[in-house]
Amino acid sequence: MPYHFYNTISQLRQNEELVLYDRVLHFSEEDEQLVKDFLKIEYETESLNYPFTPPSCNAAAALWGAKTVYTACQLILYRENKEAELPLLLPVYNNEMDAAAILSADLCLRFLPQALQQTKNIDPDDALIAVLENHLQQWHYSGIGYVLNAATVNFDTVFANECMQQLYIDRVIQKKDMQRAMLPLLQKKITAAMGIYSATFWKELNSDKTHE
Amino acid sequence: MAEDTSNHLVYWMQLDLVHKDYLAQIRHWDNLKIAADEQSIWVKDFTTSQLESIVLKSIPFTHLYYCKDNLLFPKSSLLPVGKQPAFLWTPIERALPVTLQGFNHNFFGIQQQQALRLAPIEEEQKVTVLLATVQDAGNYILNAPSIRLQQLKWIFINNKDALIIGEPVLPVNGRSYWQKGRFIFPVGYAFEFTVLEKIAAQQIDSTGTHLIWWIDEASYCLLHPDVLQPLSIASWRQTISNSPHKI
Repeated sequence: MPYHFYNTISQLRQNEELVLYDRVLHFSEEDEQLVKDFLKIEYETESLNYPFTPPSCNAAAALWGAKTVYTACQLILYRENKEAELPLLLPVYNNEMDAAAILSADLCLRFLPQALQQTKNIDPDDALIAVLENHLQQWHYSGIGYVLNAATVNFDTVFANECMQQLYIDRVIQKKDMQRAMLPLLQKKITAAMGIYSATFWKELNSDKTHE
Repeated sequence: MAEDTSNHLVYWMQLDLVHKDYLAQIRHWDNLKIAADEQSIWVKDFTTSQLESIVLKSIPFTHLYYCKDNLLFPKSSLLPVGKQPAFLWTPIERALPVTLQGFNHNFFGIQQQQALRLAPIEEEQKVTVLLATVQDAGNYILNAPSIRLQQLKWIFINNKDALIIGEPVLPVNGRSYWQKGRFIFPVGYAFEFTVLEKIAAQQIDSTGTHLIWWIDEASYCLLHPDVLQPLSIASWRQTISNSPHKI
């Protein structure tokens, strides 16, 4: 039996391109286990580059993130379901959302904003958009760079772990997400991270401040 | 003290052309103007202190005049000797050019050798290279924002130090260096004779690919750019944990 889920996810992680091998929304346990193991190794490799002490991998969250991205892309390409079924196909993560879960889920979830953009290009009124945006709103670390309703974003889990916090700030700077950078909670931390070199690293941030 | 120009008489000094060389000792007074006719040379625009100075008085064969109402009076005389002649004045520097000795073609010192030395220099340089111990640098790097590391390259040296190249320099204690072409010098130092740079680089590394890192005033080391790796937390962790002496 071919491992469509595993093939898609490993290709996504290794080449940053998403290939769907068939119209399949459900996959075998074996396939899931393969993805879990693969993501664990990926997490280990990636966490080498995390500052401070990286949290250990949360395989369940990683799998959930992979499933969400996979299912979302399936739904973008081959839709046979009704709108009401969408929340069932893309369930909400129902375990505790700590730094480990956020970082593990991010392995795949970071590609969701691009998938969302694709959906928007095809049909801006698609019901799928609301479902996915809802996910991103909750997993906002993966949604950095994608315009979200910043007022409802919850930073408690992010700031609770210094590794998580540093990674969050790094990604805001890397993606140059002006919307996040202007949040009062983040602004100071971002300026602190860049120190006196903010003009070198992120010129626009400073010029925007002077306009205010 | 400033010159009082209101009561100032304009003094002219006359000197025979043959004694022109005596003017050498006042040539550095750049306020002076000079003119010449057939037999003599004329100098004007002395300040009071210059008129009183020994330097001027020690010039022989001079005649001092002052001018009033277009008439020329010898100094301390009320009787004019003639009309004030009209001259074309030029600054003394231009009128008395300095000639340098010609090149000595019989110089046989060509075989001499010049020792390559670093010397302290005055100009300020931009630090772009940092040598720090692994402990010092690690404390910062392992918790650093990734943006601070992205543009840097590094190499692990002697199992205890890290040489980090690039800007902006990390806020870490260590020895700082600056880069000039292929050379990396300690900050505040450069070659005693900068003209030797090209030849020195050629002599030290004729392939032209290495960076030449002057560790201190007396020793250097060649670094191939390929041995430098991009600085990241992962690169740091992996390199240090693979080193034979665990830190």
